[in-house]
Amino acid sequence: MRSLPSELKAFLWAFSLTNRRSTWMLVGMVSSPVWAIGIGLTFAIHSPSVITEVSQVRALALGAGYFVASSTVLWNVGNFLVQAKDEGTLHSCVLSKGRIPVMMFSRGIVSAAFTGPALAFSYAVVSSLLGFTPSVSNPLGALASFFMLHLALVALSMIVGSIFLRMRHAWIVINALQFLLPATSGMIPPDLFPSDLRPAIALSPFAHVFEVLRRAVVGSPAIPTGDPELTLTSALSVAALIAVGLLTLSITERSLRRRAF
Amino acid sequence: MSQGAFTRMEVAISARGLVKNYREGGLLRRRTEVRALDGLSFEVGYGKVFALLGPNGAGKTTTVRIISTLLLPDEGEVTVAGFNALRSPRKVRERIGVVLDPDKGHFLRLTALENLTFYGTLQGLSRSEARSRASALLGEMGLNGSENRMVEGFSKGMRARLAICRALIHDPEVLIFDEPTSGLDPISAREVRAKLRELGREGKSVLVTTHNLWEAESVSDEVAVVNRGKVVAAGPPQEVKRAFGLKWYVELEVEGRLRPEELPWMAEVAVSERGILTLKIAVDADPAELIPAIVSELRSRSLTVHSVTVREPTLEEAFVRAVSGAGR
Amino acid sequence: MLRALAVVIEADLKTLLRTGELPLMLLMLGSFQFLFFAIGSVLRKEEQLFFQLTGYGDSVLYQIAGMPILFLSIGMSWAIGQFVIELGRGGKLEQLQTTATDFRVVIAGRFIVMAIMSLLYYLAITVPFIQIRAGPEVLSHFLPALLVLMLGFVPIFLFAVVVSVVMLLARTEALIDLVSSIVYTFTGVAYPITVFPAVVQTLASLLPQTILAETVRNIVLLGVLEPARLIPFIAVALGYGVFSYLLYSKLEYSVRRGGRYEVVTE
Repeated sequence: MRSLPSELKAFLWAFSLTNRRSTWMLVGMVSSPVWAIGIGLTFAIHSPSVITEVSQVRALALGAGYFVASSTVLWNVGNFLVQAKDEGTLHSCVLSKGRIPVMMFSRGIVSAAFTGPALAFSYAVVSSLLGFTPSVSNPLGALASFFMLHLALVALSMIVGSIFLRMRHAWIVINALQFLLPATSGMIPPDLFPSDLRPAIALSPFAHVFEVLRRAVVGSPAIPTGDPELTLTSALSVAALIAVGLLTLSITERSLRRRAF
Repeated sequence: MSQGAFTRMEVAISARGLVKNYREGGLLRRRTEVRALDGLSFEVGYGKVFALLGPNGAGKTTTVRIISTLLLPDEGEVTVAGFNALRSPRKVRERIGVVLDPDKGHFLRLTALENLTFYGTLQGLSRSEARSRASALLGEMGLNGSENRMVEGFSKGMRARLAICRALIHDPEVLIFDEPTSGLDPISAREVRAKLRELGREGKSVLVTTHNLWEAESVSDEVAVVNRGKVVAAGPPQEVKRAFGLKWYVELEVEGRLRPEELPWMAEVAVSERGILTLKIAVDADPAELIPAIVSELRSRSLTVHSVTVREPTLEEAFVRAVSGAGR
Repeated sequence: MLRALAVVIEADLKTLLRTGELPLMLLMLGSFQFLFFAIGSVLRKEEQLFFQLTGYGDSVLYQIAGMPILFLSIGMSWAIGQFVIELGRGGKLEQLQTTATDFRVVIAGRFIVMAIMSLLYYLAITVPFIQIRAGPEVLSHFLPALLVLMLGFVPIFLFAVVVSVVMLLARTEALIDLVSSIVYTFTGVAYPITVFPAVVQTLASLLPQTILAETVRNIVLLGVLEPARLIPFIAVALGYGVFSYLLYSKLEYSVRRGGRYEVVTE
């Protein structure tokens, strides 16, 4: 464990350089808000009055930003093991004493530098386009809750990343998951659902984590839980997801040695 | 190769009784098991370049992956640099440098220097140590003008040389190269071969797989021919050739009257249009000491010797015999 | 030339089916259509407001009728773009350029394969969804809708060629993400483009998907085919035809001058 900080530092350095130089990231900064507009309006159009009410528009814009964030993390972190295996960097890193869980975790941390601005930019663009100022109720709380949401997405990517490695066509699952995950955890403002379906949204741990961010940005709750309980359940959900993610990756590392990397 | 030829301290890589089966098929196809290794054993000493030879599918890459800690065998034991490769992979990784696919394993959007610095720091070097060692290695491998270029613009040969630098960045005692010269131009390949020999001279243990038998013969101190997951011949190239009863040939161009049956050796004789005789004599070992005796014998029979050529048996001939099962 | 085209189509169909990429792509797009259908069906509706905004009564049907245009367009851009890139990476593009077959024949072969697949997709996925929601009275609308759709494949294909060539010239495949986002957001496949400012609406009408989505939706849901709608449609198709030809020529010159066809990076 003595070498963990230097290992983490090495991965963070390399990934921040590669991400900064990636055309996907550059193009993504432009395409993210465009996707956010499209996704937001696709669901809002069923109840057009939504786009005329300030808190609804903010919730919708944030939900669209959540879609952008989850999609980015799933592609950038979840798909990373598959990509690294294809490029041979997985072998090289492992042979250089790099640990897969540390590698994935570093990748996740670095991706926050893109996910955060992409989410914020998407929120701002969708709100502005629909004629409202993109204000934030509690900026510090929003920043903290963004990191919590990001960590949850990274942990999920660590779990699914191991599964993708065993699949021949992981891209199809990532494509589906990038919609399914946010759609079932708060991307669509719960007000748009009929009242008897709203409690179902709260079943996803991601709905709680996203709700913390929504309260900090929009100011109004969508899940009927008190602030302290919500923060606690979210923190526990993130911790559990990270633990499962790290465990899955350790098991993957061992199983890769049995089946050939 | 004779098992146990080295003392314990001299053995850098020891593979004993390796067995590996791969399962193929799945939901829609019938499951089958393919035996990649079938009790493979060999040892490599320090200061030696050891070549693993074999036809496609013989089990060379599986062996290399097991020794590099990337794959676990179903049976058998592997020790590298004194550590058990199956149970202590991280200790082994500290001591080995590996090139599996020379073209791969680089971060394409990092420069050559950044790639090496990254891998160096992963191996525990400080950033400055890794950078200075990376610069030195890039210079040695002829990449000094390209150190600040992104790897995505590198040719295959440049990537292969960078892969060797990557394997050497932490100055490991054991080096493992899987087909290091495959796809390289002749000059790059020659540089790589020179590097392999140099590493052996520095006292490192070098395990290399190759299809190029001439290359194996020219760089390695010892070879092992692998076929169907087993070592079928091993030892220094000369010993392997001798083990298969391969002959050396001495060819002499002579002029004069000769009755072949009067000669003390069996010789094939051919006559050219100009009346020059070509004598071909097969011998079991290096004929360097025999040649003066042969020449003086011929001269004593009033024959003029114009030229003497010695043709050594090639490793390729031994390889073909080993793989085809032709007897020793 | 016809013989070459037949050979290309056969090889392409075999490759796409054997690698499983194309059926998976279609499966994925079908799943998306189901997802939008399912989510749209459960969400709260304001039908009166929606009608005022679009002239259609059912927002779910509106999206089911429009979304396939998006999927077919993204599918076509993906198929053509990836095709050119993969050919380039695998060295097959250079190989093809050295044969007597014009590369445009190869691209045309891929277009025909994709058009067949798109029609199958529309019939197998979209038509049943619309039937479930709208009832049997729309059945008679599908034949004219399919004819217009087939006509619409031409500008959508030419759009895909423009995208592929731009990707090759810009040396990045990341552009496909930007193009997909623009096509999704600004062509009115899921909601009317009238929600956008006038300048955005004008730019959106230059995309062939915008006209095609609205025309097909009109036929399928309302049973209305206005021939006047086809005029801008043909004009846009011609525009893309000329543009893609010019861009293709520039690409060919540029890659030959650069001496390499493996031009696209990550």
